[in-house]
Amino acid sequence: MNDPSFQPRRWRESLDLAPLVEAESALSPPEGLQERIYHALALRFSPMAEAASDPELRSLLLRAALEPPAGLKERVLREVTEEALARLGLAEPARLAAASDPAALLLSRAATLDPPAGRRARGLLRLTPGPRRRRPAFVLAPLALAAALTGLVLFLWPRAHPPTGTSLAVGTFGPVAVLRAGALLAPHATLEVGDALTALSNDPQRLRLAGVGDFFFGGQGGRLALEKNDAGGVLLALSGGRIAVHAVHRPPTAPLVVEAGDTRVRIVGTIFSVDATGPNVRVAVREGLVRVTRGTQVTFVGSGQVWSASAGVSRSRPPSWANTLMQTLAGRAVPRPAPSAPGTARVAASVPPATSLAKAPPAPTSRPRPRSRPSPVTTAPLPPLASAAGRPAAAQPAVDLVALARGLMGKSKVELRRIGRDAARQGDLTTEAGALYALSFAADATGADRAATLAQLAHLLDEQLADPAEALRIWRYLADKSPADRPEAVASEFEVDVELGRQAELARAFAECVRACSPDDLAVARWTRALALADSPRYAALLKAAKRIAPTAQHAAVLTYEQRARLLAVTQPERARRLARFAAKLAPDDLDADVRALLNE
Amino acid sequence: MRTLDARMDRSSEPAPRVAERPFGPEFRDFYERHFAFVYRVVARLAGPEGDVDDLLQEIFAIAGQKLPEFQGRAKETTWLYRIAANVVSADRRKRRRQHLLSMRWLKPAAGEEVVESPDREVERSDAHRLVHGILAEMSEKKRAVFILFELEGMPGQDVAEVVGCPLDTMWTRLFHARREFKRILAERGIRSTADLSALPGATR
Repeated sequence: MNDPSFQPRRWRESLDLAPLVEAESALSPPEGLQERIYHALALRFSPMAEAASDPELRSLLLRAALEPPAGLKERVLREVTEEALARLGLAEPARLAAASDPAALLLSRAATLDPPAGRRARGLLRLTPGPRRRRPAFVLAPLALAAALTGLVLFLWPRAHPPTGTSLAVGTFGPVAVLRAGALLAPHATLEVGDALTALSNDPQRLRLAGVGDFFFGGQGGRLALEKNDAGGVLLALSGGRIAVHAVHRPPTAPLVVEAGDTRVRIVGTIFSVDATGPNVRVAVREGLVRVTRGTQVTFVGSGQVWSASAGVSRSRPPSWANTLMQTLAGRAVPRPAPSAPGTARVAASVPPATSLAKAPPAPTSRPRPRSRPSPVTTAPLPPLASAAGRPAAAQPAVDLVALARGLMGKSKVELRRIGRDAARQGDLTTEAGALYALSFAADATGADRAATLAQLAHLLDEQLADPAEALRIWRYLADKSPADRPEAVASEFEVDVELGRQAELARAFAECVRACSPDDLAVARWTRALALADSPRYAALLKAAKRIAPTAQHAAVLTYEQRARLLAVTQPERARRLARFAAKLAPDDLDADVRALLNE
Repeated sequence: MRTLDARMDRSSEPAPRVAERPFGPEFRDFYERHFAFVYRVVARLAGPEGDVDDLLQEIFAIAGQKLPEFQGRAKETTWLYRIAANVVSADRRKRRRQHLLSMRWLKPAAGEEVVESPDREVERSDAHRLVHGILAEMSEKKRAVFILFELEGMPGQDVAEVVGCPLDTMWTRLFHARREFKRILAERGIRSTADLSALPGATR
């Protein structure tokens, strides 16, 4: 159709409303929206897209979404996020600053990963749209507001409070503003106790505090007050922002303390960093030893360790910003923001000697104990790990540790325990499995906790390393050798048999269960068997028998199925769905949302 | 700011790079080229009640994943518009369902009105709000044709291809859409540019 009246311009002119339509035609997105949405996409999809194509990364992410040892979640999410941001071109400092350090945001999220977040991770792994995304605008808005208010205060304060001291020049230490006696301090001055610092940008600024040492301070909107503490030392009160400190040795009577909210870090002489930008304060130590007090809880954080309020102590890598700054403070690298900016102080020449981590008391690990009970010593030697070679590649380092463990036979019980704990702190399940193997092998010399260690190992293998066959082997060993652990071992063995659909094994385990298990375990076993045979005429009879043995066991059985279904949802979806179906049969009206979602897939 | 005539010249649209994987390196360029277009389309299709941020994210999430499947047979804007229209339509259906479920479908309670976030409030001038209000009253088919032809300056042939109808049908829809646009304006007492003087967005 060539009717000229159909040309947009002609029509508008005829309407005499051209300005209106022209204005609408020129509609453009509000400032910042494009970057915000892109950033949200990067966080939401890119790590997952990467994970989907990389089995190793996928496996790591899966573990992070489940119940990992302390630190693993953070490490994995950080690595994945950094990779994703770099790949999408978001890693340049300016963009990161604009996004208010998304890696830090994600880390703080990771530290408090809850079941819905786990669900989201699973959803994202399948590259399906997850539930509602986090909105960066809501996260950034308070920061922007804080920065704006800080700027306003800094602008108005000198006018409202005429300076009274000798430091009258108005200026800033690069991206940090320093207030002394109500006035902005001149650049190049050495800081003193009583000064208050405000970070005006995310770029860290190197500063020097007389008698204390050098430190970097940054994180837009963050505030740092330099005060005297109760013990006569120096207190760095951090509110938002981040610092990395290289403290010179201080007498115990005048300690240096960094306070961030309800967390206090007491420094003996060390290089460390404190991050209070997120909801969880994080402390990373490069050299030496610090004591972290939170409420009544006291934790020592040693060299190479990271502490966070939610995850406790772990050996995960410190954040890259902290690493860079701490390296610089140690005189081993130069950070990207040039330290020669206005107001930069010189580095303290003396580097304190590193304190050995071994002197630190053992830090608590947050990994929940499996349901195994402590058992008496079992001294019978373990069968050789014949099937080790057939295990998946991911578990291969465990085999190496087993070999290592054989060399540890003469070590003391304390040493062996330390090795196990250190391995667990590495945050790697495979290493942890290896450490448990090591412990159980080396336990020939010590005996103690052997059955419990083995039970823990079997749970780990079955639920998180997806190696039920190896787990089964350990359960059988325990059932044979440790009478105290027999009920649990047999019940677990039975469960694995059912899930793997091994009918002959199932019959044998069931017979054993009848003989050895507690009434509750037996009832759960009967429920399981009944549901496994749901299509057969024996179904009703078995359910009836189970109810007779332990009427309350139904609830326990449902919870067990649900829990295991959730654990296996990603690594072994078929098994998880079967368990979910069991739970649904027992409690169709009271099913966990996760499990219901699993059934609907 | 690109003019309408410039936007009408679609022959200069660069040949798309073939993406090898979802959210690959090509995605960034693709995203930057088309963000403004998708934003305009979504803002108009979704109407005042739509959550533009969420919709944009959803559209580019789908586009990012499906980019490797895009063969370049259609123009990128055409392909994106289809995705956007589907997402917005699904969102409308979802909101309608929620509205019905919440039993607030009879009429808003006294004093109750749709409150937009401060960001949206600022970003949308009165002129835009007026046009978007009119678009919200049109049927989906007429709205799509009006947006693409009148506001995006797409050639008629392309519009017909995007909305999936014969060219003559497209012209007919456009005719009715224009008539409806004028009618609604008249109902709101706006008959000429002079009536728009109080609308800051109209003179931008």
